[in-house]
Amino acid sequence: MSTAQDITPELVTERLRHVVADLLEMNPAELDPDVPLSAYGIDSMTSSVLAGDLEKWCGVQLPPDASLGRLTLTEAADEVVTALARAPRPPQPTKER
Amino acid sequence: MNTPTEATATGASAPAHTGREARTIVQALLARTLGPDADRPMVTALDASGERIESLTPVELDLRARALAAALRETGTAGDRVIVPALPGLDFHIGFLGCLYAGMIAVPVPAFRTAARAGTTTRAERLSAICGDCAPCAVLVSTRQDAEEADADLLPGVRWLSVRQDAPAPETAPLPDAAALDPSATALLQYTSGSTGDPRGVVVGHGNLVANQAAMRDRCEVEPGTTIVSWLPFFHDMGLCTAVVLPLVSGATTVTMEPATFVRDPKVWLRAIAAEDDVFTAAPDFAYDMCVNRVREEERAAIDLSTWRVAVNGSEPVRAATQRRFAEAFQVSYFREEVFSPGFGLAECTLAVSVSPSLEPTVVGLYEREALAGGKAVRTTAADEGVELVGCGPVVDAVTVAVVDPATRHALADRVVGEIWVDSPGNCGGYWGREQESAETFAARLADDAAQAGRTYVRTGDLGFVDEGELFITGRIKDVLIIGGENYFPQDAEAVALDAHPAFAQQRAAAWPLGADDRGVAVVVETTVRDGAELAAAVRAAGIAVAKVLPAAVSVYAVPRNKIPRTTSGKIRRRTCAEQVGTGQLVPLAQWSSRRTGGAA
Repeated sequence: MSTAQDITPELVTERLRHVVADLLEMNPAELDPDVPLSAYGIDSMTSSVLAGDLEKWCGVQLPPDASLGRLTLTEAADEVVTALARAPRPPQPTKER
Repeated sequence: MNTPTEATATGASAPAHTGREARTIVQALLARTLGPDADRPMVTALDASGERIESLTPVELDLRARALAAALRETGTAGDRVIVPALPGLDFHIGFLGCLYAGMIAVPVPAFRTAARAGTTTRAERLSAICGDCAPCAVLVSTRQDAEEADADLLPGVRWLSVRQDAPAPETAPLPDAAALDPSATALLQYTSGSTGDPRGVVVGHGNLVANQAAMRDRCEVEPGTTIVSWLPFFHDMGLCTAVVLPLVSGATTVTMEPATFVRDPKVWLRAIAAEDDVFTAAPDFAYDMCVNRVREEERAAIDLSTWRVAVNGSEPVRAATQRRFAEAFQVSYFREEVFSPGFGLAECTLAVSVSPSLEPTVVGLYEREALAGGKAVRTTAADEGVELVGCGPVVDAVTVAVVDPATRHALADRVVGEIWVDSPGNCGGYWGREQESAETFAARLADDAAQAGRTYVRTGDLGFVDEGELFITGRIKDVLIIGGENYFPQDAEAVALDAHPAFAQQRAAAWPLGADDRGVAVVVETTVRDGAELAAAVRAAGIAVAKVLPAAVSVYAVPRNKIPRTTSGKIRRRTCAEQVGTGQLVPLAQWSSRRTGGAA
């Protein structure tokens, strides 16, 4: 279980790294945190899969037009943390995948 | 004002002796031999250090052209083709005009060694391909010795002839030939740069040359008091028009130097400009970068460029950053940024289609990258979302441009990206001996042909749009990167890659789409850096930068300088480059890919 307090950008980055790697059948270590996810093959469709996973995981409501594909792992993590800070209600507990 | 000729006929300041009324450039030279500057130098050639090699007056040039024409007529007849290499000094001027005086068709080609020697294979191949295409009767060389020593096996059955001939016997056939005074006759074949593998010669008429360069003259106000200073290769459309045709239709004088002189030391060009009053030049974008890189600051301060009035920037994509950088660097030389006149043109239209007027600031627009990818030009103020595009001016007199959807052949509205189609008195007759291909390129018709009264266009293959009368070029139709159904332009990826790391600054790049199933982009960048760690950082930085603007897989390859294949006029051959990387012929110094390399395609 995660709460707004202990969800750090680092944690989101690692979470994202594994989801993206799973989705693309890549080794997580191959993902450079400064490269836009689109370069790894994340398009508008897979981007919404990512956003859905993150929302379930930490309870954050990402903007409906959030296109994570145009962001890097680091930038996407910042986006999530910013969204959490804007809506500091206690996140719903969720199961780990 | 229907035609440029009529437009200038009303100009009271145009004395007849300058040849402004002439219908062919031979007629213009004849007029000039009868005018007040008949015995003043009209063309001057400089050597590698900028010293004068030779000058010719209109009378002298006329005599030399007549002498050569008489000798040519012993070899062939009017309408025959003659190879005119980019000979040094004033030999090209004599050779080119000699062909026209003889009523023959000049075929300008790059300089080559007359004796077969190692290291000239590519040029020899190109030359033999051109000769195979147009079947010339003669090849011109500088001296008699060159003609005697020429390797006959290089071009079997073709006569080698020196441009320097003794004055002809007075009883020879009347010269110039009637064809030289006929605007509908063919003047030259311009072998286009985009076709190094399979040369196509654009059939340029006498009337095309005069109409096109008269329009250039009027747009840039080139006057009898103007001096044109050029280092451009004569076999190139911009070089030929700038150094040979424009001075004849305008009454201006010309100072030329070899391209190698400029490349070795750009100061020679700048000093030649500084030495004249009211100067017109034309050069591609890279030349201005070269001046900034190669001329030291204290040297700039010693050159006075205040007499430079028009610096046409054309034949390559025009970059606003280049112009700004040059203007800043040469402010100490009294250079004014508004001297730049970006333009757009192509050999199929003789040359000029659009050029910015003399001494007007360049129009630079920032357009939304995403909107451009969808084919719409939408202005933005957010620099990080925008693509900076340089306006190539309004079309020159008597030219009409249509921006067309190539699939439906319907004309598009302003600020919509499409293929640029041109209707111009400079539009040429077609490609030599290729009627089918010519009809497709030179006689294109819009879908609503009835409303067009049979108007035909040259299809440029270039993509662009018109915004408030200004023509903007966004890329080549065949080089477009289609990602997720949207169009992206390789120039964009190239510019971003070059800006990403100091190892790539001021270098060349080529970008192209990866295979259809991969939906990504590859970028090759030239560099002089050899340090492995620095190169690894550079290709990664470039890859990330490109990935930020193109939502797709990205591969970046660093290669040594001058390894990116180019056409003779310097245009990047993106598809050839892609093939060379694909086959391993072009070996990168370093590479970076957002996808695993060597694994799945």
